[in-house]
Amino acid sequence: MQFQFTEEDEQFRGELRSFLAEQLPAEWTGPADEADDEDWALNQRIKKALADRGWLVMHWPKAYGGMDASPMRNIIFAEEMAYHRAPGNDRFGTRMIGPVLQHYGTGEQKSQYLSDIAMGSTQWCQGYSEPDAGSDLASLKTRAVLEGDRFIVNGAKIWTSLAHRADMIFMLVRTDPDAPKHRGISMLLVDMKSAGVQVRPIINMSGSHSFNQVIFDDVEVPAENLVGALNNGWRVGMSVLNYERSGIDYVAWGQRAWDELVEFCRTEKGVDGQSLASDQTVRRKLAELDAELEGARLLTYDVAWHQQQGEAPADVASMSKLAGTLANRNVLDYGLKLLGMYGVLEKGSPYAKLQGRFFKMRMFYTSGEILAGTTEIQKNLIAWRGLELPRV
Amino acid sequence: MDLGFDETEQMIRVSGAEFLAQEAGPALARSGDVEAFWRQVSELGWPGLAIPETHGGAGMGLAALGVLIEQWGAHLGQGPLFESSVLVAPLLEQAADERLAKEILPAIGDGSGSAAVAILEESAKWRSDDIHTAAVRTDTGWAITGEKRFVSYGESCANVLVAARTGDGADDISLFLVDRSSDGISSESLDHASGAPMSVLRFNETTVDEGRLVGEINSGCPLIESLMLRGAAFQSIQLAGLGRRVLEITTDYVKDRHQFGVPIGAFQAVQHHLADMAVSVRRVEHLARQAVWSVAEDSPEAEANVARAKMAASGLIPEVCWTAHQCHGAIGFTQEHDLHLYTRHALSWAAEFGDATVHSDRLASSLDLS
Repeated sequence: MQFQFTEEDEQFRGELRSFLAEQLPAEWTGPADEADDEDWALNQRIKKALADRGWLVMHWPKAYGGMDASPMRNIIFAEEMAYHRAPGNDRFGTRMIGPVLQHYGTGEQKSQYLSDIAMGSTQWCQGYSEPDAGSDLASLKTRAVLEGDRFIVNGAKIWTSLAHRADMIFMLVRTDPDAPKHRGISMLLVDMKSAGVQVRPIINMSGSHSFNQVIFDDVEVPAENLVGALNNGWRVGMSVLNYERSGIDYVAWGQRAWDELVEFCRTEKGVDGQSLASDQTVRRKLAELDAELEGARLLTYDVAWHQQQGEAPADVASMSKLAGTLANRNVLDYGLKLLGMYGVLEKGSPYAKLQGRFFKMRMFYTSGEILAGTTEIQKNLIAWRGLELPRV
Repeated sequence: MDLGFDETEQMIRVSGAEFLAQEAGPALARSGDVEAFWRQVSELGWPGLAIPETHGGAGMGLAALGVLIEQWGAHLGQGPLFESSVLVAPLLEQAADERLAKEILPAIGDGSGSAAVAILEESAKWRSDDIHTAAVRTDTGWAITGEKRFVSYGESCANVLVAARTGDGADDISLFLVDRSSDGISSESLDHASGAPMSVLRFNETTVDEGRLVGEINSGCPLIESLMLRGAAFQSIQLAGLGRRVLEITTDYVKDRHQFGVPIGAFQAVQHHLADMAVSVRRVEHLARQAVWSVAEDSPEAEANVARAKMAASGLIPEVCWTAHQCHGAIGFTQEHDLHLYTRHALSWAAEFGDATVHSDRLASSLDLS
C-alpha cells in the first residue's frame, strides 16, 4: 500500500495546474452555462489547447493518438479539471464514444471519427435516456429499421446534454422489437445535421440550458454507422457507464466548494461577532465534511487502482459515484445553511454572497444523484454485483 | 497511489484471517479464556511483528502490523496485542534507553511479558491537566501514587506504562514502566461491556527504579501524543475489520433467511441497507489504511489523516452494526446470537482514543481553518 502519488504523477498535476492558470480567465469561478456563447467559446478554446498538449486524449492508446496514460494519471486530470471548474474536458467524445469505437468500431469508423475527437474538432453528445426509459433504460423505444443501406430512425431522446452544441450523437436504438429487451438494442452514430433531427431545449431548475430533448423523425442513417454487431447495443452502450460512474468530478467540485466555504467563514462574522471559522460548531462540521470528501476521494482512487490492475469494479464505481455525489451535496447544503438568507439569492444578484454560486450549484447538482444511474440504482448495483444479493 | 496489498501484506492478511477465524471469533470473545490462544499468537510471532530484529522482533514495521490488526478486529482477537505491540513497544523504541529496550522489547515480542497502558484517569480523556497521579523522588528512583482508569490488561500484564506528574508545570508529565508485581498496586474491574479485561489501577507509593523512567523527565506529553495518535489510527483499522465482518455476516444472513417465499436479501429495502453498509465499510477501510500508512511513514499528513479515519470509523461502524441488527430482525436482538458481541466491541472502540467529536476538533485544528 502506498497512499501517495508518484513523483511523475505529482509533476503532471503541477503542469496541468499551470496550464489551467494560463488558460482560464483571472478570478475564474466556473462557466455560466453552455448556452452562453462566450463560455462555449472558452470551452472550445481550452479543448483545442488540451488537444495541442496531447492531454485531451492522453488516456487513449498511442495507436490512436493518445499517451497511454494510466488510470491513476487520468483521474488526476479529471480531478484538476473539475476542481478548477475548467471547461473543455470533452467527456462524450474522449471518455465515452472514443473508447467505445476503439473497442467495437470498424476500421472506417476509427479513421473517420477518432482523430477528430483527439484534435478536439468534433463535439459529440449521448442519446440514451428517453421520456419513458430512465432507470429502466433497456425499455427504450426509439426505433431504427434497416432499409437497404440505411437505417430509418424514429423516436425521441431526452436529457441530452450538449445536443444543442453537438455535431454527432451516439445513440441506443431498438432494432429488434420482438427480442427480449436487452437483446434488441443497437448503437448508431448519427449526424446531428441530418434531416429530421430536431433539438428542443430544456431549461433545468438551476436556470441553465444544458440539456435537451432530441426528436428523430424519419432520420436516415447510413448502415455503416452501426457500432458493434446488430442487436448488441446494450453491451456496447453500457461500457461507457463505468467512466460516467467515477465520482471524482463530484469530489473535486465538492472540494472546491469546501475551500470557498472556508474562505467565507474566515471573514464572515457569526452572532457572537467572531468569525464563523472560530465557531466550534462550524469548525466541527467543516472537519466532518473534509473527512467525508477524503473518504469519497479514496473510493474514486480505488476505482482507478482497480482499472490499473485491468479490472472493472462495477460495485466500487457505483460506490464512488454514490459517495461523491453525496459529499458534494452535503458541502453545498452546509454552505447554504451558513449563507442563510443570502444563500437563496440568485447568481447575479448584487447582494448575493459568494456570487450566489452555492444556490446555483445546489440546484444544478441535484442532477448528480439522478444522472448516469440514480443513487437508488447505484445501491441496487452494489447489492447485486458487490454483495451478490438475489434479484427478483 | 497503490491501494493494493503487497506480497508480504497479503500473506499476513490471509494467514491472519485464517488463523483468527479458526481460533478467535465469537467463541473466544464469549469465553474470555485467552491463555491458550495467546500462546498460539505468541508462537506465530505476532506480538513481535513490528519490533525491530535488533530487539528480537520480525522487523516488519507498523504498516504490516496494521494489516494484522485489521483482521484482529474482524475476528475479535483477545489478548494484549494492541496494548503491547501497537501502543507500548513503538514508544519504547522511540524513547527508552537501550538497556530498558533490551530488557522489555524481546519479552513483548515473544509474548511472555506484555505491557499495559495506564494514562487516563477520572476524566477518561488525554489532557495533561487531567493527570493527577504523581511520582516523587526517592533515594533509588521514584514513588508513584494515584488512580488510573481504563487500563486494558492491567491485571495480567507484566509491566504497565504509567503517566505521572513529576513537576509543577502543566505539562510536567513523565512516563514510567512499572513492574506489575511491584508492591502498592491494587486493581478493580471496570466491568467493561465488550468483555475486555479493563480495570482501575491504584498506585500507593509504588516504588520504581530510576532505570524505569521512559525518556527524559517531564518529557512525557509528546510521547503520549504519539501513542494516542497511533492508538487512534489502529483503532480505526480494527473498526474497519470489524465493520467488514459484520457486513459479511449480514450479507450471508439476508441470503439465507426467507420470508414471503424469497430470501429477504431480494427486497430492495434490505438491499439498500446492505449497500449503505458496504459503502461505509469500504470508506472506513481506505481512510483507516491511509491513517496507519501515514503513521508508519511518519507523514506530515498523519495527524489529519488519523483524525479523518477515526471520525469516520467511530461514526460509521457503530451505525453499520445497528443496521445489521435491523436486518437480522428479532434473532439479532438475542444474547444467543453473536451479533451483539461485534456491536459491543464497535461501541467500545468508537469511544477509545477519541470519539468522532474529539477528532473533528483535532482535524479542524490541523486544517488551519481560521
